[in-house]
Amino acid sequence: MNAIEVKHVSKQFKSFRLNDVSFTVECGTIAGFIGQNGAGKSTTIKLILNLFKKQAGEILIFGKDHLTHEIASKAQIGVVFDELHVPNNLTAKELNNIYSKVYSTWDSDYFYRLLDQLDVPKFDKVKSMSRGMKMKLGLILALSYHPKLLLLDEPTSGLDPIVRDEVLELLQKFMKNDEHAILFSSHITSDLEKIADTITFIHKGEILFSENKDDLLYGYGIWKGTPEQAIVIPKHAIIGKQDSAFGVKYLVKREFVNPVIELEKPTIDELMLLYVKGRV
Amino acid sequence: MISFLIRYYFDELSTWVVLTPLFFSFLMFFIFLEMDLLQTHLLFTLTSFSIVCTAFFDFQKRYKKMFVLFPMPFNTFLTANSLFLSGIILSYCSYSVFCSAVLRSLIEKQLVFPSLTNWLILLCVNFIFLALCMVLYLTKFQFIMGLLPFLILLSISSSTPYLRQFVDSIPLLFCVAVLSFVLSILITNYFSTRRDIV
Repeated sequence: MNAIEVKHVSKQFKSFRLNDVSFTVECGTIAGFIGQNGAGKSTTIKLILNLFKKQAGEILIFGKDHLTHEIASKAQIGVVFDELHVPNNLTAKELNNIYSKVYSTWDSDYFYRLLDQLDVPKFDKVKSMSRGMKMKLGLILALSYHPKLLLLDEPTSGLDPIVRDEVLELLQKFMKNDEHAILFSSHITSDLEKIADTITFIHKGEILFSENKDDLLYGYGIWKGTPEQAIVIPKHAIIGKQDSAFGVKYLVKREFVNPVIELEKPTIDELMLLYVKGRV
Repeated sequence: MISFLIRYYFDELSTWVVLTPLFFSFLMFFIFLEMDLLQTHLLFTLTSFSIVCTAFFDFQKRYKKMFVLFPMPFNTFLTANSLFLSGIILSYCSYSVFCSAVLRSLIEKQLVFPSLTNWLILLCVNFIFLALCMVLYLTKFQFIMGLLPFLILLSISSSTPYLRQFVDSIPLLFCVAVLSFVLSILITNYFSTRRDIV
């Protein structure tokens, strides 16, 4: 079953257009959502949440239209933005009181357990917390009503590696249930390399690819050499190219390259960079 | 859920809700004897309410994302917001009329009952004002809300004769108040459910 189905969704802004965006996130998977700043990642997430009103297309959450079943959908979605949108003058304990009234599935014991586990103070006001603490609190709030789907919009940006690791660990625990799914938008591609099952790449409001991470990393290769040596690479195999003082670097499709030619496994960063900047 | 939201709004804004009328009561005390009674009532209720209203809409704006993500229909929020603000109007108008009756009783050394007519006029004018604020909040001119207390002070102190004419017919005033309040709720509902939340 698909947790999210985005079909041909479009949205026009003054100077930006999200154009015919389509992708799916299956249950039991973590979908990495990558792209440059302003490529349309946050816009897509906001469209899924109906914070932005779509102009065309269809969005299904667990097979149901996200507008006609908006309330039921929201109860199943945990959301973490890059900032924590809760009143700054409240403590974690007070937030527990509010959220327990709002969500019928709210689990106070689990909330306090997660606070202890991630060392988030119960009695400190949100405004006195560090960015890392706020992000951990945001994730705890999103997890404590047992959602089936997590939408994370750059949750690890600006966090130190230790906090990032704790967050990723929590997400991996969440994924132990096969009915759960995560859409994880991030600039930090190393995080996605660690935990994502699929990668969806958006560029200038259009989806360039949405594929299984392993297929992507093993389906493509990086070839490095001098321009003279490059004749061994068939032109139709080259996806992206980068020139440097030491030679050239090609992003190539492995299936079109002679297997005896040695290719390096690309990182998601390289895929992004060569797809966008070095497009042939 | 509606009662929870109203309680929560009150918890968050209790300082504004309680201290604003107290502050204005103190100010009004000095002009109570100089000005027309209805004028004083209007000045007190409208300035106090405009300040609380601005604080409320500012609070709503700051935490819009949190509220929008809650699994609740928009109508629940609209009802809670309207009830919360209506409750404030009701209490401020009652407080104003009651306090002036007490003060007059003390000054005239005989029992003066609170004026029901004044209370009704105040309610109607405040509801018209609330309708205006709700529509204003949807526009690009939200910043005017911060200036409203000063505008109210200026306009009321310079327009007493016209004000008298306007509030003379209570049934008409009542109809205008109900109509404008209902219209503002319909407009808010229409635009809020169709707009992007940035």
